Formats: sequence, structure tokens, C-alpha cells
Amino acid sequence: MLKKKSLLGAVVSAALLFGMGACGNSSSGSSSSGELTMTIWDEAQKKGMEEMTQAFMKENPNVKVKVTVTPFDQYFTKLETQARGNNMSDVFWMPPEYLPKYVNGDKLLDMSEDIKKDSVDMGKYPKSVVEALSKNGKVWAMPKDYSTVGLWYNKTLFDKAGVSYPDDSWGWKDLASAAEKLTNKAAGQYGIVADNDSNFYSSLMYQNNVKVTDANGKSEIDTPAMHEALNFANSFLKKGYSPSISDQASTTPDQYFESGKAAMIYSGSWMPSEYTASGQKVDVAPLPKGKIRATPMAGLGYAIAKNTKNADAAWKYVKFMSGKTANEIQAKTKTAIPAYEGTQDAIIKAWPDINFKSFVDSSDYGTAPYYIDAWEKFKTVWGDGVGDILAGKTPVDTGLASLNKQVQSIIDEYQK
Amino acid sequence: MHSKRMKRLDSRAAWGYVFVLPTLLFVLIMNIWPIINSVYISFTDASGFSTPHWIGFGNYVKIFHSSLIGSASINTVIYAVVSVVVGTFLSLILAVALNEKMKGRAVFRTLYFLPVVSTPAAIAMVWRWLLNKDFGLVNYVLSFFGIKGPNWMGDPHWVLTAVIIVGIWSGIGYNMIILLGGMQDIPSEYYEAAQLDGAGKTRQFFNITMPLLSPTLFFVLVTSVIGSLQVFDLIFVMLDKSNPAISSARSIVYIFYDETFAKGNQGYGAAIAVVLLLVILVLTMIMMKLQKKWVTYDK
Repeated sequence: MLKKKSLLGAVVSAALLFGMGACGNSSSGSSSSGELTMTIWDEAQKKGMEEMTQAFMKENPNVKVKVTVTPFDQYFTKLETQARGNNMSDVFWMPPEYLPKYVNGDKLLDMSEDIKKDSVDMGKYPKSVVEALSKNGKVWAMPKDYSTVGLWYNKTLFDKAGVSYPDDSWGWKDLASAAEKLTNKAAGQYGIVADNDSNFYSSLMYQNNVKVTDANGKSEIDTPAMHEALNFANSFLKKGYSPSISDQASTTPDQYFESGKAAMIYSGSWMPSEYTASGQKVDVAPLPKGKIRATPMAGLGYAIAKNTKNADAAWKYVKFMSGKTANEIQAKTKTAIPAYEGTQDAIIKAWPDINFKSFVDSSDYGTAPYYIDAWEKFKTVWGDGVGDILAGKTPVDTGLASLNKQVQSIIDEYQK
Repeated sequence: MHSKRMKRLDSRAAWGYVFVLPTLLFVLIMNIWPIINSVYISFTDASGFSTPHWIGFGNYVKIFHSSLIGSASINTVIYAVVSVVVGTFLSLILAVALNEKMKGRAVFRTLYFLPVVSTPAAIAMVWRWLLNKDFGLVNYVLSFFGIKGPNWMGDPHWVLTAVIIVGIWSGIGYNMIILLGGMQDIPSEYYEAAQLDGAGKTRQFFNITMPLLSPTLFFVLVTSVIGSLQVFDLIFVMLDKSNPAISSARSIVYIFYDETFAKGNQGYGAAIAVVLLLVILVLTMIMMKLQKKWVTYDK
């Protein structure tokens, strides 16, 4: 019996070892025959990505591309591990937030020369997206799409409360008074979900003309503009127009909105399929204006691994994926708002029941944080700190003052 | 004769090594080498893709000055003590109950074991729904008894309790099966003899079952302590990063994950892992020493 067991163990572990060996072989020998892999994190976009890739392979029959998905929760953990072993996919999605780290680590292929050689017109993409994917005067990823945040609202609840639908004339005051009118405590209905998941408070910050840091890494957390923005965010929670942050730990902000328990939510251009399937009558409007018009805007790019064995094919593929034809497919398949100029009409038409155009139009005033090199080091401290303030654990003024010191000291230590 | 026997033994031993070799290699490459590497990294400022520099005990000094580690240690100890004591006690009761001849025994054994074969992520998602403050089944049932259920996942005073409940529930089946196996190893003659001598069920349990089960119980205790000190996945999946109560439930491994993979401080993260390893090592050694006082190995 005992012998049998150890034999089994030996067979199993031998199989594991050989299995690992086989894995190693296949990944190192794949590229010479014109094979590429692209890793993405969104299962919902896989179909669209594959359709675009098919179109590429039709034009380039000698290159084969495989699209694989790593769930978002593990995407960057895995990418970092692979990068350390110089074993990344040839092509992969790269958001601006992580770009500095990979550029500093010398893990990405510089595309500037290829762009010049093939005279790719970078003017076809939103300037902010191109800037976010550039560093040290070079382009490290080609624009794929962008997303913006809008004011989603529940038409039924607005009708019932006799409040007119939001439009681009709305400002902060209109938002506050609508939230008050739409709150019905007896029915367990809230005017808005003021969540601590950054879309909401970042929007208010940008509209009050303030970011976490300036471009050089000086914290702007303890400034009057920041205090004002967070006090405004906090007012919805304090007055009970929003479920409390601790209630949102049980029922998520999206669930409040989708179950008709909240009339408004600040959420993104990636939500239509979920919100329209919730059974509520929903629509979306541009974000109410503060001192200035602003919306959090996030670009996304296709990056190429520095050590890819097939740089030529990878560039060809990325050029195609960020070009006009592929972006038209991206729009038509409702995959994401394409970054290429003039290809957005198809996705606007693909969502006829909602004002999807507002997401595209608001890209004109899209804003993003300065992703300085130390961003990764302080982002959780910043997020936790704002979370504590909105949860009522720390008051706005002292909370921001101490958060300012913490974040600045992390940045200073990093930049030393 | 003598030499012939030696030779046979030798070749048998050699075959033994051959069969063990793959496993040994696997353990060396996948377990031992990473441990050695982690110890090295813990003495460096490894971060991102930059070349690590030796900084001596810098990371360890930082650990002992960190209030975050302090509160995480307290959370972890509370989790470990409660879940090991209550969890082991409950699985012992279940094992005793399901050792009796009763109808549907196999069904119950399967039911209690089911959480063990379910993925932690799935368990956490289902419990998130069960423990929902407004719409959850748990608070709904409590309302029948006139109890207003707490905000399990949003209230700092309850959030650790919620994690502990789910942790115990998901681990109970595994310990139960092991204890059940231990009980079935006890020869039935002992019970028959005790019955003849007029010992009741309780007496039988404390004088026969407990002493003879003690090696199994010891194994269950040691593995539970090690497992509970490494609690991470339940917290990670049950509580969102933006949860305001999460600071009352963050465990040591949670901080390790956050430092290593979210903030990219690999050196500091490795030091946390090494400290945890040492703590577990010392605790296990103490338990090994203490077992002499209560574990009986002779049957």
C-alpha cells in the first residue's frame, strides 16, 4: 500500500515537472513562426478583441495572434512576475497608471521610431490619452480606448419626485437640490450614491480644479480647493441623501442604483450593459459643472514587451489594433469607446436608448491624476484616507491635513 | 549471506531515492528555494524592477514600528484563537455525532465536507450575500427572534466576527473528516470492555475516545493554528478595498499582499513573510513540546 502511494506521488510530481518543462518550451519557441499573444483583463471585451484580431490576421496571414484573458484582480500581479522573468506576452493592455513603473523598469518597447517610420498620425487620438501613454518624450503604448464618467440617473424615480432630468446646464447646486428632493427615507430611497471608490470624489476634485499632486509630486491634499471638494462630497452622506459608506460595504453602490434604491450615481462609460439590464429605466447625462467642467478620463493602451522575439510583427499588430479599421470594429461591437478620431459614432448608435454621446463629448474636458513615479507607493494611503473621511471616521479638515503629511512624506522618500 | 542482504537493502534504498527524487526536486524548487530567496530579499530594499540593495535589518525595524502591522497582528491573533478553539470544538462534536449509526449519515458527512471542496472565492461571495445587512438571510432569520442583525460587513465591531464565522464554517468539514478517521481507528473492544464494566457514554468518551484520539486532535490543532495565522483569501474576497471597516479585519498576510503586490515593496513584504514564518515556527515548536503532557501515542 505504502509503495503504491509513493509510486503515485513520484508519477504525479514527475508529471508536474515535465509539465512545467513543456510550458517553458512552448513559450520560448513560439515567436519565430510569427505567433503573438496578447493579454487583456476584460472577459467582456474578449469577443471584440478577437474580432479585431481576425481582421488583422486576414490582412497578415503569416502572423497568428492569440488573445488571452487574465482577470483584473490578478492582472498586474501576474504581469509584474512575468516582467521580472522577462516572460511577458508580446502585446498587452497597459493603463497610464502603471506605465511609469514599466518604463522605469525598462520592460516596454519604445514605439517612437516605428511611429515616425510608418508616419502614424498621433493627432488622431485625444491629446490627453497620448500624453498619458508617453514618458520621457517617447511613446510606450498605442491608444486603444478611453472611458469617461457621467451622471447616471433613474428616470422613474425622477418622474415620481417631479424633478426634471439632468442636462449639461446642471451645476453643483442643482445636483445637491435634486439629491435632496429624490431622497425618501420612509421608502428607503436615496437621492444619490456618494461612494468612496474614487469616481465620485475625483470628479468633484477635478471640477474644483485640484488633483492629488501637481506634476512634480507636490501634494495638493491640504489646499482650500481640496477641502471644498471633499466637504461637498461629504455633505451628501452627512445629510442622509446617500447611503452611508458602511451601508455600502453590505450593498454595493451599483446594487443600490440597479435596484432603484438610489436615483443617481457617478459611474463610467463601461456600465451601460449592466445598468440597462437591471430592469430600471436609466439614462446618463454629463457630470454637473463645478468651478470648471471636468470628468475623470482614463485612457488605455497596447504595449509591446521589450524582450519580445517578434518586435516587427508585434508593432504591425499594435499599429493595426490602434488604427481606423480595428477601432470601427471596437465601436460596433460595443467593446469600448475607441480612441481613434471619428470612429465613435458606431458605439453611440449601438446604445440608442441612452445618451451615450455624453461620454464621448465629455472627453473634451477629461482629466486624470498626474501619474508620478511614486503614485503606486501612496495611492492606497490616499484611497484609505479619503475613505476614512467619507465614512465619518475622521473630519475633513484634520483628516486632509494628516493625509497631506503622510502622502508628501512617501513621495519625498521615493524621490530622494 | 550478510553481504548479499546488504546489497539487496542498498538497491532497495536506491530505488526509494529514485522514487522520492521528483518530489524532492519539486519541493526544493517550488518551496525551499523561494524561502531562501525571500529571506535574502527581506534584507534588501527590493521594489519594482530596480536592482535591490542590501539594507540589513531596515525592513525588520520598520515592521516593529508599524502601527498597521500591530493592528493586523491583533486581528490575526483574535482570528486564530477564536477560529481554532471554536472550530476544533465544533468539528469534534460533529465527528462524534456522525460516528454514531444514524440515518442519512453519509449525506450529512458530505454536506459538512462540501465547503472544503468549494473555492474560497465562491464561499466568500455567497456569505457576502447571506450577511447583507438589509437583504441577507442571516439578519432576516435573526429578525424572527426580535434581534436587529448588525451591519456584519460594514461595522468595525462586527467585521472580524463575520470573517471568523465564515472561516470556521469553511474549515469545519476538513477537521471533522480527520477526527472521524481517528475515531474509526480506535478498536471497538475497548468500548465493549468499558460497557461490560458499566461505563456510560460520557465516561467512554473521556476515558477512551479522548486519549486515543489525542494524536489526531493534536494534528488538527497544529494544522489549524498554522492555517489560521495565514488567513487572507476570505478577507480579500469578502471585504472590498473601499470597505470602511477593513482596518478591523486586515490580517498579517493581507498586509503582506498589499505591500508586495499593491505597493510594490517586495523587500518589506518579504520581511513580513519571514517574521510570520518565524512566529509559526516557534508556536509549532511550543505545541510539539507541550503535546507530551496530553497526547498519548500508545494504543
